[in-house]
Amino acid sequence: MTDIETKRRLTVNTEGNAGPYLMVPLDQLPEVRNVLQQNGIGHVVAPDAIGLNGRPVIAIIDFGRSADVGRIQAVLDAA
Amino acid sequence: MGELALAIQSLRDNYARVLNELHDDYVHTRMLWQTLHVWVQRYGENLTIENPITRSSVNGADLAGKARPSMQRLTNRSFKDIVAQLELFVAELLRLWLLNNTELIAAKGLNVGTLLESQTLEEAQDAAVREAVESTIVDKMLGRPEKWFGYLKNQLRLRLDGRGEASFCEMKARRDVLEHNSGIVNAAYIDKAKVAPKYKVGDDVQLKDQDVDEAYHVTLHLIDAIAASAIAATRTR
Repeated sequence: MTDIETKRRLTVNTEGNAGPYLMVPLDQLPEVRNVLQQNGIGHVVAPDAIGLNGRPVIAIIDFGRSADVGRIQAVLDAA
Repeated sequence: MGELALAIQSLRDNYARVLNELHDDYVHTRMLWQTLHVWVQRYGENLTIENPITRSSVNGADLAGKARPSMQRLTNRSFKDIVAQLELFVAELLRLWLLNNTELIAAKGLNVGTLLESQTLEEAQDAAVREAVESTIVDKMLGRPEKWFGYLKNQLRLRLDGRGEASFCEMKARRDVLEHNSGIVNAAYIDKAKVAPKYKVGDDVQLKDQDVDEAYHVTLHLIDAIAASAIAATRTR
């Protein structure tokens, strides 16, 4: 999948120790969640979505510490 | 409304305000971290922050890397702070109640030292009442929440829906696990959580935003219910 704002590949982030996560424009969130749900990937959308200086509002999807980052990335790449 | 009832209402209002401030602080701080995280991680913006005390310096990328663990600590701290408000409220309510219903402390023993230090009989009586009130509060509050609730039900004819009481006992047990057992669920948690355990022994408690919201709602609900019972009880004593 491609980020509709940056036009770059949607990439799962892993920095920190709170588990992998994904930043995604709010407008693209339903599409991304649909892909995750269809592939049985558990996730939680953070309650705050942030819009800075008129840019698209960004939502954060958390996958939990035990998530399989490789599989999530593969699913997003294939979508 | 009598003087004691007004004081209880004021106490309730103060704790409702504190709960609101704690939840606002949680949301605002979380938003600040999220904003920084998006700003730096997604848009590549930068900043440098220097701590004038330690002279340490951190750039935007390093700070953004701390966002998620910091938000987890914030969630844990906010949960614990919110849950702690009920205990503080009950202790202050008991202080008000016992000072106005001294027959409840009549059986307490007197400290001879207190009597000897007093210059007048009135001073001795005041000091004895204060001591008896404080020792009663310590006695009631040292135990588990069901002990506080039992005393309040007995003295204030407190009526609680079972769900609120059970939820609070579980949250207090979870708070103890986070505070004293590094977040790893132990047998004490299962015992304290009574009928509403959410984890099993060995689980690692990972709080989410909804846990803070639930703690806020349950604690405020119980403070409201206890204050309403206490105000009603002032009319019948």
